[in-house]
This record gives sequence, C-alpha cells and structure tokens, in this order.
Amino acid sequence: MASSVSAPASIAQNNTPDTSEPPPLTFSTSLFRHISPALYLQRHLLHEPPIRPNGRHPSQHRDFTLTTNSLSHAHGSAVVRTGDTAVVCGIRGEILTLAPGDDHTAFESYHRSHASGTYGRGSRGSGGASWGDLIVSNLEISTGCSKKYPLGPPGSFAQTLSDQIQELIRVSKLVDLTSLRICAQDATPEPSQRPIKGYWSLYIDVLCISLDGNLLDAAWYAIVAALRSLKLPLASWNHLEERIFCDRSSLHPISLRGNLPMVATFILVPVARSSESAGSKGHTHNSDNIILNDPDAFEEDQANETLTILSTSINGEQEKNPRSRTGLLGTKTRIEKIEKIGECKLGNLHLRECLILAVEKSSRFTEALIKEGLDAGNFIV
Amino acid sequence: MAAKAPDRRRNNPPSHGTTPPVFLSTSSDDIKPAQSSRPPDEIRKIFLRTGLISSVTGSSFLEIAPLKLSVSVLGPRPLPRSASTPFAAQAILTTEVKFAPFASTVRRGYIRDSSERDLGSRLYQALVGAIRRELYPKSRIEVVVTVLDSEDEGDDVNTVCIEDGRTVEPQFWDVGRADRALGVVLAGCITAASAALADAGIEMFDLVSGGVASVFVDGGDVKGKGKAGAGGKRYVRDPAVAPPDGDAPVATCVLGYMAARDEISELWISGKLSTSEGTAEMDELVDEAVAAARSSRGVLNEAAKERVQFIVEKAQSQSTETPSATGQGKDVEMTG
Repeated sequence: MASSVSAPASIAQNNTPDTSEPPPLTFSTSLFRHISPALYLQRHLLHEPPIRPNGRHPSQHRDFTLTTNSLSHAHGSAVVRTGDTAVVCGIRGEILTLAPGDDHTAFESYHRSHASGTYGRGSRGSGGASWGDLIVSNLEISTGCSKKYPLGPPGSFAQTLSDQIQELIRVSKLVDLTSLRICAQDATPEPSQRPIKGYWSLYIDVLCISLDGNLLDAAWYAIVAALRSLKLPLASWNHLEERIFCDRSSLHPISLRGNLPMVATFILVPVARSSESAGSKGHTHNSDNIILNDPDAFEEDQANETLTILSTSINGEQEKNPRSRTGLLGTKTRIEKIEKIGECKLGNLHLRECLILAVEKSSRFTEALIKEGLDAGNFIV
Repeated sequence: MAAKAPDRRRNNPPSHGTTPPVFLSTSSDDIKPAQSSRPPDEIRKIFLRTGLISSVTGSSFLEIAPLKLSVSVLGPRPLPRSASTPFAAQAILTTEVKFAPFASTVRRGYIRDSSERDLGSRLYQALVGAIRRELYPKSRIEVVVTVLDSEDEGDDVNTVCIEDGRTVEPQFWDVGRADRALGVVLAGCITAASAALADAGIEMFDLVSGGVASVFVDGGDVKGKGKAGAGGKRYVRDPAVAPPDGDAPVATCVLGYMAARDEISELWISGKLSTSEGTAEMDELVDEAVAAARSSRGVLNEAAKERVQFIVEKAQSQSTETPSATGQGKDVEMTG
C-alpha cells in the first residue's frame, strides 16, 4: 500500500508533457527507513506474519551472551551483550569505617527516610546532590557508545537510568545489607553479637560500550550477574592498629536475595490498522498498539509507551518463602515493580502478555547464570 | 579518605567516605608477579577487532593480556554553527582517554584526572599527523578510548606489613611503575585508535602503531650503568609493568610509529639514559620500541584486512540477495 500524496501540478507538467502519468517516485528500503521511520516500522508490523525491521518477531527478545569475572581489578564483573547493546559492569568493594557513636542501623536499611536527617541522604531531588547508600550504582553512557549521546558529564538519559537502577536495587532489596558488615573479632561466640566496626560499600559501575536500545535490561542483567560473581576479601578489625585490614587469601561471596528479580522492557508502537483501506493518513482513533519485546534503538525512537516490569519467578524448591503468595501463569511469578512511561492505555491482557514474556526472558537469563556457574545452588542464601 | 563534594549528576557514596581495602601481609614475599616466559624480543599476543559498535562510525576493541580497551570514532561530523566556533580549514581532532572506575587497582572517579588528560593529549599527538585532516574541512573527528582493564602498580600499593607491632607502609622502590603502566596503555590506545579510524573510513597517510620497550641493567647496579663493563644492558620489548624478577627498568620508551613512512609521531621516554656515548643508548632503545611497534603493526594490518573482507563479502551477499528474501520488508512505492 502506498500513501499517495497528490503531486503538485507544475512538477507533473514539467516532467511528462506527453504521457498522462508521471513515473512513480520510489525509494529504496533503507532510504524509506530514514525518511519516514514511523511508517517504515508500521509497514513491517502490518505484514503477515508481523516482523520487525530487525527480523525479529514482536514478542521475541534478543539473545544475549554473558561473561563474568573477566576483569582483573574488579571484585566482581560481568559483560552482557544483547544484539548490538553491550555493557560492562564492574563492582568494587571499598570500606566504610564507622566512627564511634555512628548509628549503624541507618546503613542496613533500604529506606532512606530513616537516616535522611543525620547524613542528608536522600534522592537527588532534594536540593540537588546528596550522599548515598552502601550500594552506589552508576551508569555511564558517555563512552562513545552511540552518536546520540555526547561526551562529557552525564546527560538526562544517563541520570535517569542511573536513578532507575538505584531505585530497582532498593525496591527489590537485591543485596542483603547485613552481609556487608565488618565485625570485630571478639571472643563472643555469637557472630551477631560482635560489635560492627564498618561496612563494605559496593561501587557498581556500568559502562555502556555499545548502545542499540534497551540499555536498562542489559545493565540490570550485568549488575545481577556481577553481584553473583562478586567475591570480597575477608575484612577484619585489627585491635592494635585500630583499623580494618583485609586478607587477600580468603574471599567470600555476599548474600543476595534467593529469588532474583528480573527486568524486562517492552515498548508499544501505534499501528494504524485502518490505513489498509483508506489512502488518507491520520486515523489515530482507529490505531492499535503492538507490543515489542526488547526494543532496539530504532524502535525505541518510535515508541509512545515504555513498560518495564520487575518480576520474580519463584522456583519450586523455594516455595516455602512466605512472600510467594501470588500464583500466576502456572509458574509462580511476583510482580515487584511496574514502570510505565507514556500515554497509552494498557489493559490487563497486555500486561499478562508482557508478564509471560518477562518470565520467559528471566528464565533464559537464569540459564545463562547457571552456565557461568553462578546459579543459586552454589550460594548460601 | 574524606569524601569531596557530592557529584550532583551521579549517585554518590555514603557521606562517611570509603577507603579502598588495605591488605595485611605478614611476610613481604607474599605475592610474586607471574614469571613471563617470553623472549625479550617478542611482544605479547594482541587481540584486535574492529567494527563491533554499530552505532558509531568506527570502533575497535583491543586486548593485550590484562589491558582491555574499546575505542570509538565519532565523525567526521560538522562543527556546530555558532559564533564561538572558528572556521576550520582542517578537521578538528579530539581525543579522550577515560579509565573505567574499575580499570585500575585504585578506583578512579568519573571525572577525568590529569593522567587521563595527559594520555589524551599524547594520543592526539600520535594520531594528528597521520590523518589527512585537510580533506575534512569544517568538521570534527572524535576519538574516545575507554580503558576497561589495565595492568598497573599491582596490589602492593595498598598492602602494609606489620613488623614488631607497628605498620610499615610499602616502600616504593620502583617509582617509574605508574608511568610505565600509562605508557603501556598509551601504546595500546594508539594501535586501537588507528584501527578504529581505519574502520571509520577516515583517510590517513598511514596507520600508526604503538610500541613499548624498556632497558634493564643486569646486576641491578643502577648507578654504574654509564660505566663500561658495569652490567650488560638488556632491552625488552613490550615489558611487563611489574617485572618478574623484581628489577626495575632504567628507562622506558613509548612511541607511535608509522611503519610505511618510517616516521615516529609520538615519543615518550621516561627514566635515565646515559649520554656518555652520545645518543647511542637512546637510539637503541628507540629502535627496540620501533621494532615492537612494527610487530603490533602486523596485527593492525590483519585487523584492517579482516574488516575489509567482511565488508566486501557483506556487500556481495546483499547484491545477490533480493530484499524480500531476507524478510527485510518490501519496497514501498511513494508517488509524488
């Protein structure tokens, strides 16, 4: 189907004075993509069966590769590549020494409001800069990963994503903060009774090396995998020196949540179905939305709705977990967070469909973790 | 380490400030750097691949043992049209080198520090002469290097010993090590950046490759190196930053070299060289570094060739296949 625009009469006369019809102006596919990206995407999605310009089915996510512990200086690291999006996540632990009189409970809480009075912690929104939590995550895209994002200090996109990731870590309580304690080695037999001398602070740095859409999912997977691969040296309080020393020879993992929450991002692209019959454009009231799983950069530009779901699938053996009440879609899945940015109405049906896809994607990721030897079985949870 | 003012564009650490872990070593010979079995005239294996980042003009990824870096080339693109932008008859080249926060033993911040700026300007020096900038007037070419992992001082920077009940900070017997670490990174940057520039299709006189060489004095008597017969000199190409047997090189040379034109575009010698025999010692060191650069040039050539073959094969397969067969959609006619 061609959306025909009536040609100006003068051009038609100049070109073809003798014949009745001017030769049609045709574009190559790649040119069409640049001239009218929205229409280009729609044409693909209206194709039977629908196929995206990148050759994927609308509900198909890109496969990804996961490599962990490839960096020599990081305590834990992961490289995730999905399609043309590649991220590197490195985690380093640094030591926070408590001063006498510090209230350590403030550090073990994901709820920032508890401590905001004392240390001025809190979201960036309150007066710009602020101090953070034990887990410090940042995402950097000013690495020349894409033409779109200039070099220099992080722009609004990078800041939004960094904040989103920090928020996801907080909401999902991904890391058991009590496992970051550094205790004095007293004669006290009970480990929980030992005085807390400090904490490990985890710097999670995600660098985007190559960007082709859906950075959040790739970054989240890299973070989860890097946290799983994280091994911190054993830290202990030295009485003589009154400081914390580490032992390089004994490394230990940190404890994460048993059921890892997974992120899946979808976009909704408007498709005007009525345009099949009518030649005129602008039938927006008839438009429908198609859900695209794991969008690439080109599709992201055309989206008028982005949906991010943080969900957890609960394995059979961990059903004793009292929080796993929600039974959905056969496997037990709990939605932990839904972020919806856009103007579309989203029905239950859409949500259910997205959730099934999210579960599918997270099981694929669990598979990748197992392949790296980082499945839950190896860890004391 | 007291934390500085928080960065309002990033997530910040707790206000208490954090310190990198300090390791306690009871005996000084805890960790020995891995012995290298390489002959002195052989460089380490280089992995170089171009065109991995699809959304930029040119890119490359380089890996030499622990060193991992990714280069992307943006441009040539037009300079912004503003009153403050002067007319440029030649392309303006900008180079940026940034270490990832987890790329070195001591965590680096996101703000570029002086050593990164220094590396950036040296990389600029190495590349600027090779690019035919006059072909790209009023435009800008940006080279961005992200160092993901590097070989640097090693963990003994933050190791202390306890002797007789008091702590002894490690003695920096080898002050040039940090410099050498940067030199090795620079050589990698030069090689990878010219591969990325070639991948971007930017016209160049020649590909620049980086090379490193160090001179060691046997016997460890550094002071007597100028005198004849006082310990033979050993030249090592592409030396390890932490030398295996603990002796530090006397001087290290890093250079950017254009093999086809036999030109050195960047030269950086740090350390002490004797001048008793004129420039003989320096010449020999530079020759060794040039030889190392020639070796890495071979890898550079291979990477460029591989990429060209890939592009040609892709173009051929595209011309034979019809667009509909690939499922890439049908041509849409638009009349007008």
